[in-house]
Amino acid sequence: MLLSFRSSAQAHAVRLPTDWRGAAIWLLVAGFLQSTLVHFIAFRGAVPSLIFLVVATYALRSGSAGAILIGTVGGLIEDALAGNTGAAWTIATTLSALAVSGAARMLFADSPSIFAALVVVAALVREGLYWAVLSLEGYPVGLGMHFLKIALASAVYTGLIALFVIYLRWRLVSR
Amino acid sequence: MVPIFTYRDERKLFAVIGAIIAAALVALVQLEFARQGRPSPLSSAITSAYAYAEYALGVTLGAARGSVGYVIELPQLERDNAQLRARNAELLTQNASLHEALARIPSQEAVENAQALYPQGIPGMVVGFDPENKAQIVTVDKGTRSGVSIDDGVVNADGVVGRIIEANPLTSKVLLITDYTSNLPAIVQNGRWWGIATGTLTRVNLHYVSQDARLHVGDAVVTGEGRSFHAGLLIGRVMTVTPMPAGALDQQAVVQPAVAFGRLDHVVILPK
Repeated sequence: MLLSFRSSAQAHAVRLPTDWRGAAIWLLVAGFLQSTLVHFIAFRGAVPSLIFLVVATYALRSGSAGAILIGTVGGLIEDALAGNTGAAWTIATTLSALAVSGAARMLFADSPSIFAALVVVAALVREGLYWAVLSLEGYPVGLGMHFLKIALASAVYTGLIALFVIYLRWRLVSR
Repeated sequence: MVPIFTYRDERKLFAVIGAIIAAALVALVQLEFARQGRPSPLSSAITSAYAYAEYALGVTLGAARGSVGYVIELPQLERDNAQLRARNAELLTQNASLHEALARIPSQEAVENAQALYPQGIPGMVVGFDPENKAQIVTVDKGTRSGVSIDDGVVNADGVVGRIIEANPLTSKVLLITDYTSNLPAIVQNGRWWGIATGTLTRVNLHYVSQDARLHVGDAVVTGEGRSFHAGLLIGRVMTVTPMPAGALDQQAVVQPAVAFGRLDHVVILPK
């Protein structure tokens, strides 16, 4: 039920923004929330990535160039706010956005369930890339198992938030 | 079959290549500055822009928390006041001082205590957290403009909080002692045994303590003289002593940090 809360695909299809100004504003807001309030809803150390949610949403409907640009900006914001990560988030988010953009050409991205699943998979890919870059930058590799647990939980958490946001938007639009 | 060539395809290709070049340049700048151990201009610009918004939210949350606490305590204060008035003038004077004390926001009191302990320190407020919660890093609202520099120690009235790992003009990043990558020289106060305090996300592990050391639960663990801290600042207390396996050259203990990191709001930065 959760994965198919649309009775007709066309009527309740996920309509995603493609306007770059809107995406930029959402990205700034997500960055602000990510560094201040999201910390308070952590579940066993995992938090949803609102920044990546915005990046994936935009990358899904934009071309490769748009995906790379928003991925770079989103990752840069994360690196700036996190500290001690070098360019790990920038590289990981850019490549994940590119992957989302590529996947959108093969999938029916209007479906909320597919979109949420795509977000979860892309978030996992991003976490893996982040860890790989961080390891290359000299972060202790021995912490990989702990990191994997948090990465899995964060990806699922982000997917759930994606579903919730789509559902909320659908309810607001259908009123 | 002749391939179809259009100017539209070419423009798309240029856009993609341009985006890749831009992304690579950004990544290179970030990596180069990370290698040099300095914050990149891009990171500095973003953190500075966010600092104002984070500071505003932090102040608002602090005020809201203080107001709620005050409202909750108000009925009790009134009852106390009535009892005191019923007694004598001397108790009324005490009542007034109690009012003054209770009217203060607890966190302000905490920072005042910390400042009294470390008068040379720079008071700061925690305004941000690690966006992905991957590291135990917080952002404070004081940066190089306030005299903060990398490796400065950070404390509060309870004990050691962490050290500065990145200093931007308006904000700084503090690596908490509970982070996996945090290592501090530490001394068990009772016996003066040396060790290294490493973060374990929620607590601190004391490694490399001599096997001759007699560690006891409740022993205070303080900082050793190091790059960020002078000796003697409280890190925490020994919670459990890990049994030594046969042939071990050193022993370990789990230390409960003195600082409550879950409600960390005000800190004092100790310039080197």
